[in-house]
Amino acid sequence: LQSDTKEQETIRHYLLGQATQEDSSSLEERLLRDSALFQALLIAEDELIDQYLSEKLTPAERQRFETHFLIAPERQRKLHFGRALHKYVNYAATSEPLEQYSAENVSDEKPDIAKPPPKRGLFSFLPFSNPIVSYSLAAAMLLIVGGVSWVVFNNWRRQAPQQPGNVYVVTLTPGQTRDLGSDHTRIEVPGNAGVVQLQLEVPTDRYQSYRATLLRLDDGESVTINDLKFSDLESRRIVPLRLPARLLIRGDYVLKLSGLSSAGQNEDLASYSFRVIK
Amino acid sequence: MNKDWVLSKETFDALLRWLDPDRDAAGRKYEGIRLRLIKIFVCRGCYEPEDLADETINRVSKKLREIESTYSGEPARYFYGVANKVHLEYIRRKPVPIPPTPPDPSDDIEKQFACLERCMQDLTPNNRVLVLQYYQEEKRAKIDHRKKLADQLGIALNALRIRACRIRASLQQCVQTCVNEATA
Repeated sequence: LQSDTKEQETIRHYLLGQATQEDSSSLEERLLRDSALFQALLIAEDELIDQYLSEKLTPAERQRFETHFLIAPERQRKLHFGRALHKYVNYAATSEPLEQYSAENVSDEKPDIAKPPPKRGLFSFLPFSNPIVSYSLAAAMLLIVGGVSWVVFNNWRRQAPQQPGNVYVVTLTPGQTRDLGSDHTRIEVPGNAGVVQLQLEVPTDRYQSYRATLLRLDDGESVTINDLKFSDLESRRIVPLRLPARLLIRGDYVLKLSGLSSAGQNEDLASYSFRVIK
Repeated sequence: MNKDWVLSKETFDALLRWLDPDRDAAGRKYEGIRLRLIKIFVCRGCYEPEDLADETINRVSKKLREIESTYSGEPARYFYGVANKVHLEYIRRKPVPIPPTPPDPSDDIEKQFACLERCMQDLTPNNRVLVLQYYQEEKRAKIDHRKKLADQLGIALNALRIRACRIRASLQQCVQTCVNEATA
């Protein structure tokens, strides 16, 4: 095991152009003969790219990555692909609760046998659009962020969420603009909650459907949910938005709601800001 | 470099025989050596790794008659020695200035993302789930998560890494083809 770790370290140094001449020669010569080593090098390349994209390299490694590792066009293509893959996985993770079908469909996997499609998750009906498109909304959203007040239904102070389905319900109301950095509305999602239902209070019910764009301010990741429907709840105008709890990791968020008019145009309607502290 | 010399069928056959008496095995060895030579040149920061790998193979083929009866040891070692010479010549030439990595143009990102969605659908359901599972949890305990996934699959962690790496490579190939078609 120790020699494996040492070898991985040598490969990493080699890829970043930091290995000694002796180590490099020895490694390259073995690469031509040793399939396992070659495979380990390919894996290490992918891992370096992933770490670069998720900003997990040290400043020195990052510098070597950009000035040495990325010189070859092949590596640049790998980086571009890695970026797309990361976005896709993040996007898919918000639209399908992977853990629901992992146990059923992965555990007995045989690589060459295609199985029937996996069962769709609880949230598969949510029509998330491509998140890349919604990045452009971020700047505008920051200017129109509304304040939020919130009420938790069904005894939210209890640590355990309600049964069945571990749905944690929070009502958000658009209000005055507030400083995002200081006194956010706080949402503490219980650890065993599977679903967070945001009850978005809206000023009007005259739209055919609604669109919500949720932006995580810490990293700029966003998701857009289309075709949300209005609901009358105890004489309050509500647009319910169900999200996988795992999507709401710790951080500051802004949610922008727009309505689709009968003319087919999306009109900005309200903004809500909150901080998740789980 | 003498790029005018062309690898004839006879020479190529002789090269294959030198690599292995069994032609299929020799073909696999040849492909393996070429792939790895390309990778080595990539790792050395060369801009045209395929050309350099082919030049290496050509030179070995050209020398084959002279060395075949006297050389002892693994052919791969000989390839490596020739590759070093080819590389030396490469770096002696005036290097072509390499432009900095351009950022992904937004329309390219869009195309790539759309193609990735398409290519993901081409995977078997199990491989698709594996990719999504393997690469998620970026901000959590990734190693623990992958160990758990390997346990679920009943394979070692290293086998999981290899499988994910291969699926990723095939996805990248699929996306590249798809983007090229969309651009053409």
